[in-house]
Amino acid sequence: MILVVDDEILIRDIVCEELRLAGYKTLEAGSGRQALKMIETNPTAFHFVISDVVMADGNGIELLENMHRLFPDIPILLMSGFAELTVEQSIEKGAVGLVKKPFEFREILKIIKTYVHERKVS
Amino acid sequence: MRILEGRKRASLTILSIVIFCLLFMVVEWSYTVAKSGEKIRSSFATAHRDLENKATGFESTMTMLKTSLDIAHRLTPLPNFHIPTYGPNKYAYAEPEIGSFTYVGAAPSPQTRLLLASLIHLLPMLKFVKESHADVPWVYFTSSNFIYLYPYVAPKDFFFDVHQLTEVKEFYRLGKKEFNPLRATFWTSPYIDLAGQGLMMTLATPFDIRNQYLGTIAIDFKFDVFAQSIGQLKMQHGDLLLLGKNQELLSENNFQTKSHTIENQKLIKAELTPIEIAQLREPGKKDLSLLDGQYVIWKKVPHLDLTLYFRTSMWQHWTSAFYDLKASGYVFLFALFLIVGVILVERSENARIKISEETNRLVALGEMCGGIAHEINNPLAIIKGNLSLVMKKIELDQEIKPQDLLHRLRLSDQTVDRIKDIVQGLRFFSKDYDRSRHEEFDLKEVFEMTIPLIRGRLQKENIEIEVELAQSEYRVLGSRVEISQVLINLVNNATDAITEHQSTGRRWIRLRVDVRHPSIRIEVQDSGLGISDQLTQTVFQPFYSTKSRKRKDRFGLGLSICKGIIEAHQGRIYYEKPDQVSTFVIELPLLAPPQTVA
Repeated sequence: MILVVDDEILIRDIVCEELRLAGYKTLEAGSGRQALKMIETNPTAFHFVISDVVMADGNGIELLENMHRLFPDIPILLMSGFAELTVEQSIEKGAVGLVKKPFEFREILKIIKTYVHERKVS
Repeated sequence: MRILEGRKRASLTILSIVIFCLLFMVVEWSYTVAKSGEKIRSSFATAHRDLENKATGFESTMTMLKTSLDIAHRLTPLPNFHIPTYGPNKYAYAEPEIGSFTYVGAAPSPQTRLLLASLIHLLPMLKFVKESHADVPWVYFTSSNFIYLYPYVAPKDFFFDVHQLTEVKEFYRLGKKEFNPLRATFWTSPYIDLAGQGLMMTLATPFDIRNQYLGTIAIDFKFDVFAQSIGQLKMQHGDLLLLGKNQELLSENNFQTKSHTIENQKLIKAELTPIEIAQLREPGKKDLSLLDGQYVIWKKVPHLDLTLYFRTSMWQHWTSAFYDLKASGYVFLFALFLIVGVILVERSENARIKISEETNRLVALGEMCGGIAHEINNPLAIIKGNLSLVMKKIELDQEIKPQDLLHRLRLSDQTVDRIKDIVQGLRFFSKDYDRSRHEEFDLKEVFEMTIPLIRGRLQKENIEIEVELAQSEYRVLGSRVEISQVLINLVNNATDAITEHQSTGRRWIRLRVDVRHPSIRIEVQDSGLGISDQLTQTVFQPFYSTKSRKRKDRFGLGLSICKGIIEAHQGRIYYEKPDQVSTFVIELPLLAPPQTVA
C-alpha cells in the first residue's frame, strides 16, 4: 500500500490514478498530520509514502522527520514545486529522493519499484 | 517625497550656512563702510590743506613783491625819461625790454614816472614770479591811469579801458580804501580770462604811499593750480567739488581742470552758473553724515573764499564698500563649496535611496519567488499529470470513457487559468509597467492579484492567511500595483517577524478591510510578538530595521517606502497593538461607488 500525501486534491488524484495503473494500492492524506495518524494506526499496511513538501497543515519535512524517527523502515519520497530543498538535502534528512513538480511519473515509479520490490524480496 | 528627512536636513544646513555668511558679510560690510568713510575724510582734509597752503604760499610771494616795490619806490630817484604818447586818447606803450606799459592821459605826472621807474627796477622779480609758476600768465601793476605788465604784450593785442580796470575789475576796485580798510592782500573771485587763458583767479594787494592808494600789484593764477589739489586725489567714490561763493562748480576730481581755450569760454560761463547740490549744512556738524539722501562733507577754504565739497550717494557709499569686502569673499567661497558638498551628498543619498527602492522591490519579488514557483509548479503538475494519464491510457490501448477524458481535459483547462492569474499579478512587477499611474479601482482586485503571489511563501513557512472583506466593493483612487506592493511588503514583514521570533502557537496573518467613512481601513495583523511602543514611529524611517543584521536582503527601507506610497495616496499608515495583536493599519480615502447610468 502506498500513501500519497498532498494538500492539493488534484495532485493526489493524479498520483493515485497513475499508481493504480501501475498496479499499486493507494491511500490519500491531505496533510502531513493526517498521514502520520494513518500510519500510526496501521504501520504495517504502508510500504511507501509519497509526500508533498509545502502543505498548509503539517508540511512534508515535519512528516519526514517524524517518520524517520518513528517508522524508519517505511521509505518516503518527497515532491516539491519549490526550490527550497535539494535532492541531497532530502536524502540527508532520510528521504529516498525528491521529485520536482511538474514531474514525469516515470521517475516516481522507478524509485517506488526499487524500494517496494526490495521490501517484497526481503 | 519619500526622502523628506534628508532633504529637510540638507536645506537647514544650507540655510544656516547662508545666514552665517550674511551676518559675517553685514559685519565686515559695516566695518568697510566705516573704513572707507575714514579714507574719504582723510583725502578731503589733504585736499583742503593743500589748497590753503597754496593760497598762503602765493600770498607770501605777494608780500615779498609789495615790500620790494615799496623799497624800490623809496630808493629810485625821479627819472627824467620821456614817455611818448599816441592817438587821440594819448596811449603810451613800452618796449619788450622793460615789459608792457600802457599809459592813458596827456602827460605823465612825476609820480607816475617815479612809479614806472620803480617797476622797471622790479622787473627781474616780476619775471621770476611769473617764470617760477607755470600757472601764472601775468604779473602786473595797475594804477588809475596806467598798467605795467609782464610779460610783454604787443600794442596791437593790448586792451586797456580805464573804467573797466578801475571800476569793474575786482583786483583794482577791492584795493580801494573803502573796500579794503585793512589794506590786506586778497583773492578775487574766479573769472574767465578775456585773453583766453580760461578760468582764473587773481591775487592782489593795494599799494599805498603815504596813505595814498596808488594801485594794486596783481598776480593772475590759472584755476588749474587749485584744481590740481583735488584733481590728483583718488577718491574711492563720490565727487569732490570746488565751489565758488555762489555755489558755482569750478572743478571736480572726476574731470580734468576746466579748459583753457577761448573757444570754450561760453561753455565755461555756462558751467559757472550755480549747480544743484545738497544744501550746505551748518558747520560744526559731524562730517560725512546724511543730508538730503547724500553723504556730504564741506569746508570753506578761508583765503580763497572757495568751498571744498564732497558728496556721495548713500547707495554708492555702501555699494563701493561692498566691492572692497575681502574676508567675506573667502567665507562665501567656503560656503559655496560647503553648499555644493551638501547638495552632492544629498544627491548621492537620494540616489542611494532610489537604488534601494528598486532593490526593495526586487527583494519583495525575490521573497515571493519561491512561493510563486510553487503556485505555478503545482498547477503545472496537475496539467501534466492529467495529460500523461490520458496519453498513457491511449498508449496502453485502454478504454477511455468520454466523460473521464472530458473530466481530465476540463481539469487541465481550469488549472491553466490558475497559472494565468498568477502571471497576471506578476505583470505589474514588470519594469515597463507605469507604476505611478493613478486610476479608480476596487481594492478587492488588489487582494485577488496579491494573495496568489504571497500564498506560496506563507504555506512554506506554515503560516495561515485569513482575508476578511466586509463589503463587496471598495472604490479607491490610486495605483493598484503600488498598493499591492505595500501589502506584499507588510505581509513579508509579518512573515519575517513570525519566523524569526514566534516559536510556538498557531502562525497566522490576517488581512482585514473595513470601511470607516470617509476612509477605508486595511489591517495587516499577525501572530508575532509585534514591536515595542517606543519603536512605533521609528520603524517608518528610512534604513531602520528590526530584523536581524545577518540577513543580507534587508535594507530597512520597506516601511519608509510603504509610508511614502500611502501618503502619495492621501492616506496614512501606522502601527498599533489592539488587544496585544500586532497590527499595521493603512487608511485610504474611500471613493463613492460608481453611479449606475439610468
